[in-house]
Amino acid sequence: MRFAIAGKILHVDLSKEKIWTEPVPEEWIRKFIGSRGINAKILWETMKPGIDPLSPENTLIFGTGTLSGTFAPTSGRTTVTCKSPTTHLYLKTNVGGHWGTELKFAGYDYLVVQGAAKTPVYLWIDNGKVEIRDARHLWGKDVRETTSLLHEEVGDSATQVAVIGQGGENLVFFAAVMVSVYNAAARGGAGAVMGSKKLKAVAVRGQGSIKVADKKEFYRSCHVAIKNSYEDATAKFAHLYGTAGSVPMVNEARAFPAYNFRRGYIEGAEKIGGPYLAESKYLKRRLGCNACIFCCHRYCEIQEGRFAGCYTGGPEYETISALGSGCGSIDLEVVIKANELCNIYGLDTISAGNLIQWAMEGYEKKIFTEQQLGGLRLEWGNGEAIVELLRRIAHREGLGNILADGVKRAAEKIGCGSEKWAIQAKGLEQSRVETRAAFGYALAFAVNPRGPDHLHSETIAEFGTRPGGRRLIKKITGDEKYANPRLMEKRADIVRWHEDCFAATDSLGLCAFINTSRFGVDPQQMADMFSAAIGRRVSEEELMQAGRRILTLEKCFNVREGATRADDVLPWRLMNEPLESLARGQDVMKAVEGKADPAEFVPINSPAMLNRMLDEYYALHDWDLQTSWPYRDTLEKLDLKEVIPELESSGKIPRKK
Amino acid sequence: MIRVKTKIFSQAIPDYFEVDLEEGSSVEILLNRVREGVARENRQAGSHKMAFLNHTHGLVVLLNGMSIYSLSGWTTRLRDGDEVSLLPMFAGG
Repeated sequence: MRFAIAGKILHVDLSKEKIWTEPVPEEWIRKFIGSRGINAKILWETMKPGIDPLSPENTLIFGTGTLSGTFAPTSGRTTVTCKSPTTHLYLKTNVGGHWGTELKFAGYDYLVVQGAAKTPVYLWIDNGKVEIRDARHLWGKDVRETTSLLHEEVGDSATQVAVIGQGGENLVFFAAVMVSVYNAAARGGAGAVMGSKKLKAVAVRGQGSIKVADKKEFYRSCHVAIKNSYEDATAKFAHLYGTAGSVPMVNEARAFPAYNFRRGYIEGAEKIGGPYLAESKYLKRRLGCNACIFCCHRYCEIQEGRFAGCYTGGPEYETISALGSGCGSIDLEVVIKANELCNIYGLDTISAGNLIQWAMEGYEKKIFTEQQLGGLRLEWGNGEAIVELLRRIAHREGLGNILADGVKRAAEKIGCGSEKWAIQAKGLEQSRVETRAAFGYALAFAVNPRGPDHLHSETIAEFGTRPGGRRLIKKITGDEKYANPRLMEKRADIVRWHEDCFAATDSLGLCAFINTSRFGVDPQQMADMFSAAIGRRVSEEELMQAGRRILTLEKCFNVREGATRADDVLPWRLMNEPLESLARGQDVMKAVEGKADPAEFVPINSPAMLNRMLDEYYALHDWDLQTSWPYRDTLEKLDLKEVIPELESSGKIPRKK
Repeated sequence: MIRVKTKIFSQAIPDYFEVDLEEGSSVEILLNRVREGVARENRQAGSHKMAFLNHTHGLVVLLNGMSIYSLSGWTTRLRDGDEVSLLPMFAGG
């Protein structure tokens, strides 16, 4: 009897049309917890460096949380892992909904897909029975149509479906794997990897159950977690306003990217914010992922006017900034319509919005030919142009074909200095936080193995706006005064703690909103739930150490691919142009030396400032400062000896000086 | 005298106040002045807003985009042209 997990890894080789299972090694649970952690282990073991991410040699892994399928609060998260076509580096992308739990109930913790089919297929996992089925009739259909057709085909509308739309089929570099229509494993192009394998969908029906080892203690620890979560001041707002609730506050904090990151503030942002949406005619329902206690997802409809008939999950905070303020728009209908298109084509809203903004700035600077534009008028805030460009991206038409390769490659192709307003690093389009207003975020974004975004280490606590966040900063640094986003001091400590915590949270299958944005559940409580579920005592320190082991393994994947310190940067604009809405003309070096008043700081992530934080961060991890690579004894101390031989043979274990 | 712009996000669309204060006034003094102004408004319209402003521990207070807790808390001194935003504790994105 295995507690908390189903116990099996389901392998599918689409080239060989072979299906087999393996047990989940107990050792892997100890070292890598589950989901994201075990995915990283499988990716390391099954991949060779240097392969083309869109070739059959890429491995696509779906990993359920070790607590998924239990009633641990927010335990419905699943991690999808592969090598990213966008960055050619490590990619994990996390999704909610109910698909992962269904896979576990079907008897599998992990689905590992290798090879590629010759013609489109889908997987049908019906409890213990697994089939590779023809999907030629589904190819070319969007996410919604495909999901409905699959429900009809298997005769069960409760079947959970992970699916790609036209975005994934057409190998758009930021195509999402969509889950149950409204949830997306969106970042980094996992949908394109699925498309390259000609895998249209994975339909799952599971009617089993998951058992925990110590039922009484598990119930107790879960109830403590739920009680503490509801005591956090933001819990009710999460339900009432969703992530969109953050829009007014982030805008007031001058950290709400607008006009392609030229500004951190847009006038009238409240009209695309959560409270406004909640009072509007568009919001119809609030939804939750499996075992959620907040239900922060939205469901909206537009019943009349130019977008009549539109219905979609969302919009989330990131989508609102990417497809709204970033494009110079505060038109809620445009955001909802654009969100619908991304969901049915299967596109990452963050990257899609980023590309449209880049194109709008390019249009303003007249860098496109009439032929490239194909009649598009990409003025800031032009909602019709946003909607039409999304369609062209998904179908790779005209300018859309250039944008479909991501902003880094689009800027390389178009030139004209446009790489300076391509808001990307490592090739990934940055998510929607103004890092010039928050230095912890700046460091976290620069070192994130998948590229500049918030879901490896979101340091909300550094803003100092809430008591829970200030307590957390005190716990990490010893002093509440470091709850200040304009300080460089202690950012490395803050980022590393969040890295450990995020990795543990993702691997358990929990939602990051339970501990690093609501502060309700601390690592001790996660360790309590984990221990009771698996029947072996795991301390808070062991859990956080496992988180660090996971993060370090992810780092090692990138080291093996050739990444160095030079890759840990931020987008050019954010490192070279001060943020207008915060600029006060202070001396950059004064801020670097810590002599500037925090209220008078320089709103820029200068190379000098970033380098200082990087030095502190690498030193804290005990990684080599010059290359950013982990030392041998760092890997040994983390019980990651298995990666040493391969890194050593390619000269990537640095010598300690 | 100094003039401070104040935005109150007690409902979906914020209210704006411009408040004149003595030189060197603190954020706490500003909040009290805003409360006095709200109390003078129509009682029904003001009641939700007043409850919002009175729940001090549930407020996010930003001075020119910075949490006052990253400055000198409620005793942070204000300057002419400053902008203060009062919001509920939203989080997550």
